[in-house]
Amino acid sequence: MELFVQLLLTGIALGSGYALGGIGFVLIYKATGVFNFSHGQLTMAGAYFFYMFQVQLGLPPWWSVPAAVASMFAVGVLIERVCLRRMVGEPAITIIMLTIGLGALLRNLVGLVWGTQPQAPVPLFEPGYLSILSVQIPRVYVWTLVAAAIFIAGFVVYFRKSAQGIAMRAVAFHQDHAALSGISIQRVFALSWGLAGVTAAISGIMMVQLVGLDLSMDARGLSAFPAAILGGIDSIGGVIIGGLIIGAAESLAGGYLDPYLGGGAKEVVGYVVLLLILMLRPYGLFGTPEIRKV
Amino acid sequence: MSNFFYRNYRLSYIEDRSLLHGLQNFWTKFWLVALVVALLLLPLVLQKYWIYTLNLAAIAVIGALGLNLLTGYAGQISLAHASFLAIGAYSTAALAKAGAPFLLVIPLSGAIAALVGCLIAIPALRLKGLYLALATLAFFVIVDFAIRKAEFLTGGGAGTHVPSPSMFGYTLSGDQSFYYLSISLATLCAIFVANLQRTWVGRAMMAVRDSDIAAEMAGISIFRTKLTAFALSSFLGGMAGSLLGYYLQFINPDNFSLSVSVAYIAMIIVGGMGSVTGSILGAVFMTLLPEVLRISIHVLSRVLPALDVESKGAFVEGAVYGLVIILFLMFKPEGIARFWRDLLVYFRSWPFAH
Amino acid sequence: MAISLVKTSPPAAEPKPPLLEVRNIEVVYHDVVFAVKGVSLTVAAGQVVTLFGPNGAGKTSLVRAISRLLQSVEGEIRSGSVRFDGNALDTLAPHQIARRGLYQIPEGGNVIKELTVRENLLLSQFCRDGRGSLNDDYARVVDRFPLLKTREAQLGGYLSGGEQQMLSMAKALLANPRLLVLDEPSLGLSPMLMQENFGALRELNRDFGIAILAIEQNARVALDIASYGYVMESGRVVYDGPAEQLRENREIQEFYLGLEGGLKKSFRDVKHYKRRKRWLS
Repeated sequence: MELFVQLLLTGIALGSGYALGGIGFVLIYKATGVFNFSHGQLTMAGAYFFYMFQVQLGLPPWWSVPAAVASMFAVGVLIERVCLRRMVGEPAITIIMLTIGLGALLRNLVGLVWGTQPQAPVPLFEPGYLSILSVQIPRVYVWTLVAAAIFIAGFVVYFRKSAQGIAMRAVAFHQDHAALSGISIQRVFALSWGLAGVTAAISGIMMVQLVGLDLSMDARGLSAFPAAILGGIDSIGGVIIGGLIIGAAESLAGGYLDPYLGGGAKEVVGYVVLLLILMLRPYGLFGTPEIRKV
Repeated sequence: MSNFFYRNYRLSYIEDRSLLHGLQNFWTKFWLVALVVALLLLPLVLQKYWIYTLNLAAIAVIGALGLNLLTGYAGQISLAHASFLAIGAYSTAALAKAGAPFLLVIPLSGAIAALVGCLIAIPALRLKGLYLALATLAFFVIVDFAIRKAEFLTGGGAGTHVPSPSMFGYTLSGDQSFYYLSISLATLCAIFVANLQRTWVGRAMMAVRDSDIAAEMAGISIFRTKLTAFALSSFLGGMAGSLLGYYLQFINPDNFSLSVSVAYIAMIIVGGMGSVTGSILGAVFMTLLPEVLRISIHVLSRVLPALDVESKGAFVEGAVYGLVIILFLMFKPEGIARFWRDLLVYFRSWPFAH
Repeated sequence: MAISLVKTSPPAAEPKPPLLEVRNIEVVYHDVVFAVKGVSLTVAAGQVVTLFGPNGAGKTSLVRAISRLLQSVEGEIRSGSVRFDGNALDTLAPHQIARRGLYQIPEGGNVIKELTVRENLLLSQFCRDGRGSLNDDYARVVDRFPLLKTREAQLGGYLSGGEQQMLSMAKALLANPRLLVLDEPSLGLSPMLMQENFGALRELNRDFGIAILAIEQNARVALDIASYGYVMESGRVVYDGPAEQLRENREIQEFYLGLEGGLKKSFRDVKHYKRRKRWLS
């Protein structure tokens, strides 16, 4: 029982990271209709930027976080302006391939600049354990969960209440009506990608606290895909729940199945869930089904 | 007289139905014969390293034809192509170790891959576009996991050995002999896929790609068409994997990573989706690109040793690779095949514009 | 030109330079379908102009051209120009045109169904360029349309068709434009709701000086509120004039107002009706 609770709680902590990453996807998808396959690489880039600011440039950690976030915002906007603006109207496979190519480019650029050695940024939280529900949880996990919750809440409030948030949702639901209301579609697209970069950065920084920094991070960031699909790719609430479920499932699978399988169950479980969801309920738990015209 | 050398109209129904359009022209026949002769003679003049590259290119052509069939003709996006290569390769390992002749092993490995391909058609039935891509991604991860875990069959992460292609005592060894095998198989596959385009099977696939519900109402079974597309595509992928296994003689799961799937998608996009020429051009281009890059990096590191480019070679290659995909998609989404066609049209109709 | 939402005196009667000037616009879809074949019209400040005609005449295409929204339907403006307040609109994006004071309500209204009534109304703030106090004007608008007040938190999609049109009208009022372009505002409305909405339109024009260009199929209602009208058929303007003139015209009475001059016609006469239309080429 203790093992179960411990796995569950660590899974939720990890899942909150996925949820945060997933929000970035859902954001881009909702606003621009583009599914960004390079999200894992963006997450990795965010983490490396953080490392650069914190260790290589020596900024105190609570400066390097905003610096990394701002850089990734810029990267997101840059990607939108340079690559995606001219791809409006192209078929889905072209855009998907473009983001895949973008991901490959990003990954190799990161490797080029920082090399293959795993890096060791200074941890943001003190090591050690907290005792919750009579289970020992590493402090790191708790703090990342709290941080994720704060950011997610922040995003949700932003979307629901602020003028820009309403504008973004308007563009996501009906571009033409939004344009006629005086909303600049291009600005909203750029903002979406910028915000996706922000979520990727935060997600990456959090992941660094949990699993360290090396070039395999982008594969880990890939787990945000099942989270987004499970929750429903156009529902922010859905992706949060999806992320938590995937994180918990991975952790539980890793804990219970790994001894039999000799490891590796964690990564596969997410995709098994993904496949099941796609076959049974492709629009996810909370997504809205697409109505297609013949 | 000009009629003899070039005309782009047909004079009989037989010409109209023919597989290779343009065979009525002298020049086309000439260049075709020249190409065949060149292909046959190449291994005699090229260095071993380039023959090696050409072999890899021929294997890639077969794989690309398979993926183009699935994505270009039938419109099904798939990130799982590397899995079919893997299944073909590991089947070959097992069958060849059991002593089967290679001419039997290669199609048999393809068939095994095709059987697995039918499995993935089941989720594919209800999914389109992005969701299908994700389903194939999930499929890929699961197959990769299975390969790594089934050590008794596949040697797990460490990999397994594949004996040389042999048949009734005769063993194929050396790059040159392999070259003739791979080129002939690639040619056969190309003719097969090109022919498919003008049969009802191919047209059914294109109908499903363009408007599946309308196709269903016209009497085409979407289920059977998609099943056929996945089966044929994985058959070709399996054969490509089989050849790869025979050639490399040692395979492990990293030979069939997600990057390989991505590389194949890049091939068909860069080459041109939905055409045989596109598959061939794309496969050759993307196989030669890393080699060219490697050479340039080597040269660059000699000229500018300070940059220390050599050690970061893999990353530079990967970055340029990604960049090529992006640039092609942004500026020439229809690929080299389209560019080639436009070029030919330009010269043929010069000095007129079109 | 700051206009607040407090009621002003009616616009002066002297001639002004036209607020909207459309010159020889040609619209083509998919490079082959010629939808608008050279149409010109003008709307003066504070004027109510109507453009009516049968289905497929190109009215919606024209209106989309004015607001530069043809890209999403694969259309483009082949030639001609649109000037608003003397400035050409050629190089502007749709949202910039909206911000300059040319507000369009497309066919079916501009309610975004997944947003609440309140959020829909708040969308209008982007057209105001910070003029006046949003909260005050919001309160005034909601008071004018009490139905919306009770439904502020409901999703736009749950409103009935007529209520959605009302919401569109409220959004337009809050956006405070100088020219309001409406595409078929009476479509699908019950006569009662139609009266209410058109009453609101009259108010917008009389009390706030907003010029109106109304595209309509229902010529009777259109000529009721308009002072000037254009008739469009097959991509061309075939007749235009002051509203009274249009109302008196026999052809328009017969084809658009349903008044057949009393006498029942025999089928033979009806068969030949097309030839009697003077302006068909």
